[in-house]
Amino acid sequence: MIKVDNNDPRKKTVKVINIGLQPFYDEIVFQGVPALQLNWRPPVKQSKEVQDMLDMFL
Amino acid sequence: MDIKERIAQANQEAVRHIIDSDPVWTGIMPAGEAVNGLEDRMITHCGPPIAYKDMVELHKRGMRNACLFEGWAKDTEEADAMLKAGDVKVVSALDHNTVGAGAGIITKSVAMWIVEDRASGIRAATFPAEGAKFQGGFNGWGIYSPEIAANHRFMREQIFPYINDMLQKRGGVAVKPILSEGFQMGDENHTRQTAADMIILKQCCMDLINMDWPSDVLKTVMGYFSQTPRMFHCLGQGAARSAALAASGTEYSTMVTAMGGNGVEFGIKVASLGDQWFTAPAPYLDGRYTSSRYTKADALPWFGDSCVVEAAGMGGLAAAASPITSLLRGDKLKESIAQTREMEKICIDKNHNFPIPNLDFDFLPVGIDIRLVLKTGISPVMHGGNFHKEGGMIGAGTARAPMECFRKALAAFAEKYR
Amino acid sequence: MYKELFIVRNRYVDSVSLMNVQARAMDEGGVHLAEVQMGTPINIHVLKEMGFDVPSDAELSDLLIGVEAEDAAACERCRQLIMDLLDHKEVGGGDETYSSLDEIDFEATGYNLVQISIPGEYVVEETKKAVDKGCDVYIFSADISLEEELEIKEYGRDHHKLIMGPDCGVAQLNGVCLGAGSIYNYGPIGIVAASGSGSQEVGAVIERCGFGLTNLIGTGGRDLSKVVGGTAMMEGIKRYEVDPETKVIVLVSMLADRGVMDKVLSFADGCSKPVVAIFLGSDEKLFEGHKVHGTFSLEEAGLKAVELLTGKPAKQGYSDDELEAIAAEELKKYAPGQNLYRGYFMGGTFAEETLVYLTTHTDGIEFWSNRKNDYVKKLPDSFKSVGNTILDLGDTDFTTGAVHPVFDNTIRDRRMIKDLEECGDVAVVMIDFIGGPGLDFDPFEKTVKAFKDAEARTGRHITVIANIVGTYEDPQDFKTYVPYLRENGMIVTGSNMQSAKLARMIMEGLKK
Repeated sequence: MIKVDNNDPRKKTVKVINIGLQPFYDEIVFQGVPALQLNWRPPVKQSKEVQDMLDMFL
Repeated sequence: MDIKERIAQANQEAVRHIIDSDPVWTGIMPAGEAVNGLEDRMITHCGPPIAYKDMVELHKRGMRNACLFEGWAKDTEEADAMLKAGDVKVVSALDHNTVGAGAGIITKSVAMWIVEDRASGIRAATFPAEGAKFQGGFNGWGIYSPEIAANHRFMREQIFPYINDMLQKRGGVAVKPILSEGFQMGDENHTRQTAADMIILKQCCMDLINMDWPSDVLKTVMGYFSQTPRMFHCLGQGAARSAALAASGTEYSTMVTAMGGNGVEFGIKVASLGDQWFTAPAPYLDGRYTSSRYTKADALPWFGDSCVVEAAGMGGLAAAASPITSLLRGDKLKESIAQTREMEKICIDKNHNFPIPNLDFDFLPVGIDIRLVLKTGISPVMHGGNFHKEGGMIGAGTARAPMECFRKALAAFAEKYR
Repeated sequence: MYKELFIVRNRYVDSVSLMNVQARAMDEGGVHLAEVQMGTPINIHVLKEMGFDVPSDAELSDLLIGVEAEDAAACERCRQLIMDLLDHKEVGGGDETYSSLDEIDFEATGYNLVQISIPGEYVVEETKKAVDKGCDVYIFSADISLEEELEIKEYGRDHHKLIMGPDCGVAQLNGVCLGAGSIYNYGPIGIVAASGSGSQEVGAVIERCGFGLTNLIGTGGRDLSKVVGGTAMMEGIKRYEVDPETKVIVLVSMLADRGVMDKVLSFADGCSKPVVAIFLGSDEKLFEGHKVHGTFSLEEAGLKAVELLTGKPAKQGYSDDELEAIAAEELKKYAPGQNLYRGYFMGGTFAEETLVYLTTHTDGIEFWSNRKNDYVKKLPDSFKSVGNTILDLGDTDFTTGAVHPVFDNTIRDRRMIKDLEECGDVAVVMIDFIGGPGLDFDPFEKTVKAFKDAEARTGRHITVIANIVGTYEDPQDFKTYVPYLRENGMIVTGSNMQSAKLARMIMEGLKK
């Protein structure tokens, strides 16, 4: 494995957030581009009753 | 101030009762004196209120044994009749200033260790371990025999009065510093308090020796102190309970103040919602069994109140401090840290008393907020032992408090503060 | 000098933390001395000796802070610093973990591209959120309905944000390679592709001609369906039209809905810049009446783009004459009865291109494949090769519940080894090596070994034709390994089409 840069100056303008599989994050980091791996979890499907209460109190 | 601000402020107030608590082991006395509202012919049990007839068999056996222990009945048939008739009442330990660890069986004669939260003046009483020979024993597992009865009497007459004297002379033992140091040494202070056991022994060693007791007394007391597995467990419970009681009654607070299960149901209590219980079917534990012959079919759903410590930001919330506890379930360091970090998402604050090496000295989360539990879908993780339906431990693991408890609690909150 | 003792009731701190905090406090300007201790009898005594006024009710569980500084204000600052340190208020940096896009301040942090590879049911919400926060979106996830795909593409379009996907495996934006693609050099050609591996081949050919890409905009595999209607492809064309750096536009896709292809071509006709297109499997009729330059192999698309740039026909790799010479040499090496072809493709597009070419340019030779195509017979069992077989190893029958071979080439190697063990009559094998920062970094030695073992076992020569779908910027180090493959007996051509041509020449030769 070698590390070669395509030296594209536009890369400096890109900043990536990865939601999901780790290898996609690793790949961006490998290219020297700033990246954030989101610790994402599926949003909770609330019943209307609970959502209403959360809207009121949280 | 709108209601959201009120709640935020109330939660800060409530969680500070835990963070700023100053729990001290002050003495030992009978449950009849130490536990508010514990009358004659009354037995506490773990978990939310449940009638004798609805209890799991293991629990019923414990209730009957309690009648024998106190001498209310001469045999189990008579005990059964008394309990069925209501001549002997059963009450939730968590409806009183005590904790029903394991089966949670406490009657008036049981010697209790008192932890006083000096910050609030509130005292909680918890039952101590029954020495090296009786794991679980009468209070924790509801088992009874002439040996167990004799041991209880022995502790009551030959060990605890002496320890009590030492405590009076010493001015008590501050519990929080020991918890804090223990967290830095691999304890999570629910299922593992190995370091705390050693620290308290070291702290009290000379205090015990300097009581100048006859050598057989000293040997007995030192034997109890040094050889009892998990001796510190009930002090962690007492610290958690007294702090939670101090927080109870904080209007507008959505903080959990108690959690426990009785093998049938699991329940929680909330700071602003008085003595109301919010219950759901008790969950089974996930984890490992001590032997491959045990399976879920042998296991009892959550049985015990020792998860009061989770409500105080210890145990399952402190997994990052105790990878070795996680290892019992096959989890390692990364998972332990992730578990604590996950718990941060449902907590009100962090407890600056407990910096944790594995978190790079970040603090443990504290104060479970029922709103955050529902919003994130993340329920508190509780560490515990897996009970066999017939009694005895068959493994260790974790369980999550049922989401339904939190939903019911928030609905009651909405009803009260609408 | 000013001395003051502060007491913090009931605040336990361990001795190590105390030492650290004390040391930090002493570093502060204006502080002569800071003593931070728990209220043990000894510590109280020491503090009193140092001239601090310790309250008589100070206890074991109290924290005592004795500060000697230039004035009262400096003492107070020191005390505040100590408390902040103990409360970790100054903990900055370190690994912040976010679990939602809502938690991130996009203005402050500058994130502008979101990559999504989560289960399909959550993709729409996250994509819209990302667009709302000003980001372009790359979507690898595939399990989204066509209607939802259209919804998010229109949402992106209306907010002037690029939506690449769903089901987009290959892309490059502003020099950053995404997904399973290769790393391309910067250049004046802009690709919009509904076929991932297809566009990778086009890009590789362009690179071998000495040119590069402005961007490789992936649209996802279903953009040219009736429902989605080429929304993303047209957006891509629009972008390139207004981008001063892009001089030639290339559209890459498999054959799709006729009406949609026509719509896209008509749209492309409106470009001021030259547009090249390949819809793999189409014939000339598709392009009749359109300005767009129609091409019919992936290599041709790449070469045409370069030609439109330079004004001269482009070439790279082997010429037909050179391929004929190689074929002639190979034909001398086989044993009697050795006359079968096997193709093992990790890129479905290469399997398709090869399959269409071989079946339409040979006569009387029967081909099998796991792909469904009128030109070939469908394998009754994808796991068992029959006669002349062309395999798409990235197809769902192989990848459901298993890793795609581009991430681990041994999957392809193992199938090859099995086939060569079971059938001694294989003469020609075609394979692909796909390069990129997201893919198997070290594929070559394992594959070479597989062949050498097969040849040793059968005692027969097997012609292995490899296509390199990658660039010299990829971490697979093709500069070193292409010679390595050749040294070990592999024929490395300049494109999948050249490989297919060579295979055809050999197969025709074997027929005689």
